[in-house]
Amino acid sequence: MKPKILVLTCTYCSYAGADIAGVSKIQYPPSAYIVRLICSGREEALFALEALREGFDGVLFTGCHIPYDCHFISGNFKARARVALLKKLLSQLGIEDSRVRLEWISASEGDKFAKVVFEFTRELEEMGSLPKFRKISELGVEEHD
Amino acid sequence: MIRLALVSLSGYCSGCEVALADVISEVLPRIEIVYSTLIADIDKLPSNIDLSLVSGAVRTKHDIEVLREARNKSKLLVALGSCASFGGIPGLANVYVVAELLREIYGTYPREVPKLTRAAAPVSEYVQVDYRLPGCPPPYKLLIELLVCVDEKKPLPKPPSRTVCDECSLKKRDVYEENVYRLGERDDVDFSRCFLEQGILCMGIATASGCEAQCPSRGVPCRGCRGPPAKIVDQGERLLSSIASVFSKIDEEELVRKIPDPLGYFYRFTLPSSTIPYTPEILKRMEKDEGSD
Repeated sequence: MKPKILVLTCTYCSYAGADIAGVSKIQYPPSAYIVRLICSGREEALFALEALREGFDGVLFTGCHIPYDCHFISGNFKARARVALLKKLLSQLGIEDSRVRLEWISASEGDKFAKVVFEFTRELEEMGSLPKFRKISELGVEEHD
Repeated sequence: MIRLALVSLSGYCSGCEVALADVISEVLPRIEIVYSTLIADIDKLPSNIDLSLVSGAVRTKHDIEVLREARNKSKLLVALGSCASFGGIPGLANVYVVAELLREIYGTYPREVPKLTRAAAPVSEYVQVDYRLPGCPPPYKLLIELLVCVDEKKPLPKPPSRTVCDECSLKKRDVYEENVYRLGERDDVDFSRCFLEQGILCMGIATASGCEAQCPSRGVPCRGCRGPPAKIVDQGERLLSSIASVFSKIDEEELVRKIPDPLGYFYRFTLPSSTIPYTPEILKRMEKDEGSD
């Protein structure tokens, strides 16, 4: 199974980090689908929930290093708090919370970006994929006895 | 005169019917109850219903049948209350598979329980809904407005696009406490000030207006029963993302310790209509069942 990872990146650090990984020709698995957002403060729980529902196996939140690297001062704190609550929510829903991961990657850390994608891909491979979600009305009635 | 049917599905607490009883003196000249299993002794759905008010979440096979019949026989079908609109409190059971759920409640496997659907669902999951009037219970002014509109054949009122905070009269200073408290945990709560700014979780920020912020103005934080405002689908996720950013300065472990139940807080009324409406365990179990057949 080839996992699909949604990677949410911020413009000023982690996207540049991913860029460095590319420019320096560091190899990493093709499982990462990178989305650039303006700041990690824009990385919302909804993106992760929708991705998991629509067939992604994991979501990687990335941002500038805590505490004071964020270009917009506090975006990384917001991402951190969201991921913490999101992980808890997922475990309550019966979804492995390690499908969501948060990493701080600065603009120079191309090697770290590649390493994180490697590790995360391997973890998700072991975990297997989520079942495909259906509408509740298609689930039917449980025959219990 | 509205030929009114009160369709109560299994996942209901009769609170919505009580809300209707609240306004009955004002609307009684306008309505004739032609079906109700609760407040009138009529158990067969007649034809030519003008308005069906459906309350409760869909949870059994019987519910689905009654609901489809009501839809076929009525001109207008309105989801009354949060359960019918979004799944409501019974929807929180969607974190269990049926077998586990019954064991959790009854201890053993009861024989007399009707066949349950695999997950609780809002009414709109099975039939077309003309209007939703959420609230737990629905605000009586909106209920009167709806019945008057139907009786006078006027267009139905617009769903609210603003939030409870817009209507709330509590004072806001835009200064936030950097800690989360439970309501009973603080002795110095100022009941004329915004709860969220004092570190008490209040769900008004992503909850549809229309209730005139009754709870916050009486000293109770909003629980989010009116569901999401127009254009927002997943109320729980909005609450999670925005409340996380309000309290983002708190250390992550501390935050999870302070908000130990994000599902219960943020998805209290809307889990079955949210992005991930049930646990994937239900799907795994279903595949197992289908495989064995």
